[in-house]
Amino acid sequence: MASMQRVEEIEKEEYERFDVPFQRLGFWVFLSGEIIILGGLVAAGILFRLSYPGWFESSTYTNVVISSINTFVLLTGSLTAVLAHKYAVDGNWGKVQLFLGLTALAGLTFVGLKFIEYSKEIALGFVPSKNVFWMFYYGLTGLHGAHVLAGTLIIIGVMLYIRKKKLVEAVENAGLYWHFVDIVWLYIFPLFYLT
Amino acid sequence: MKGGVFMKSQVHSNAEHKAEHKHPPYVGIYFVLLLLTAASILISMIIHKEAAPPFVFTISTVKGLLIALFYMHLKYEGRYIIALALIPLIIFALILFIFMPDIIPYQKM
Repeated sequence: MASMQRVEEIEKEEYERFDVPFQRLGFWVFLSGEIIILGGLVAAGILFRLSYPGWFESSTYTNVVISSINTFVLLTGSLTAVLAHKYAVDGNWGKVQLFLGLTALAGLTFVGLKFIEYSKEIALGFVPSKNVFWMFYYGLTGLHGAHVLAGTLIIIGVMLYIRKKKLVEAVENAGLYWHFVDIVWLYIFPLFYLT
Repeated sequence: MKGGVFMKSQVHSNAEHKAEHKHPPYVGIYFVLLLLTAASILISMIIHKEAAPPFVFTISTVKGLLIALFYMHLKYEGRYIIALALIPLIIFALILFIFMPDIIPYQKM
């Protein structure tokens, strides 16, 4: 009993020191690591864009139409994710389920369109071993696609979780992850499709 | 975000969460993001692809800032969360600028 009281005292001291809920702080520590991983790869991609002479020629073969639709899908997913958080804060849990469902649908649409894009490119002979551009393209978009899929599964997991326990932080953290993945795409899109 | 109170379970109650939030105009920001996306696609079509990077990456950075500040609520966060977001970005910028001098001469060759 005494030890439990001590734990609560420590928690209170820690909370007062950081002035932020621990779940959010912990989630941002995780996101920091993710920024390093994906940010480092995007930085390497930008450096190769500047140095590799064949980048521009290769990028003319990527599908701007599908990637533009995917940009729209991810941005729409970001809107629905933040609206889900808004309604969670307001206590309208029916709308939270609706908007989280729309976000998950956006994630599945993105992955589906990416799969179609890959199959078209592979059919034309643009495989990772073709040159540095295609190696970077499959490496970065593949890792990003895996993150979108992970984000979609997290959203679906949160949808199931909040049916039992109405927890705003769960909705907020799932949304934070989605927005992070969205920001990474904002750099991948011009890197491989527009420049 | 600032202004919270301590809870034994470390879980913010919904009422407290509501008290600390002011909702930015999410839908308006969404349309700005769509407009900026259309602008970057148009620029890459009008300008030669090789000259486009400074313009389209600047637009991407503006879009990223809008999402980070308003959708991820960084505009309203305290210093610890801001530090957690900024430190990896500084590392990201260092990687770019430290290696840039090695890359640019190669490009001109």
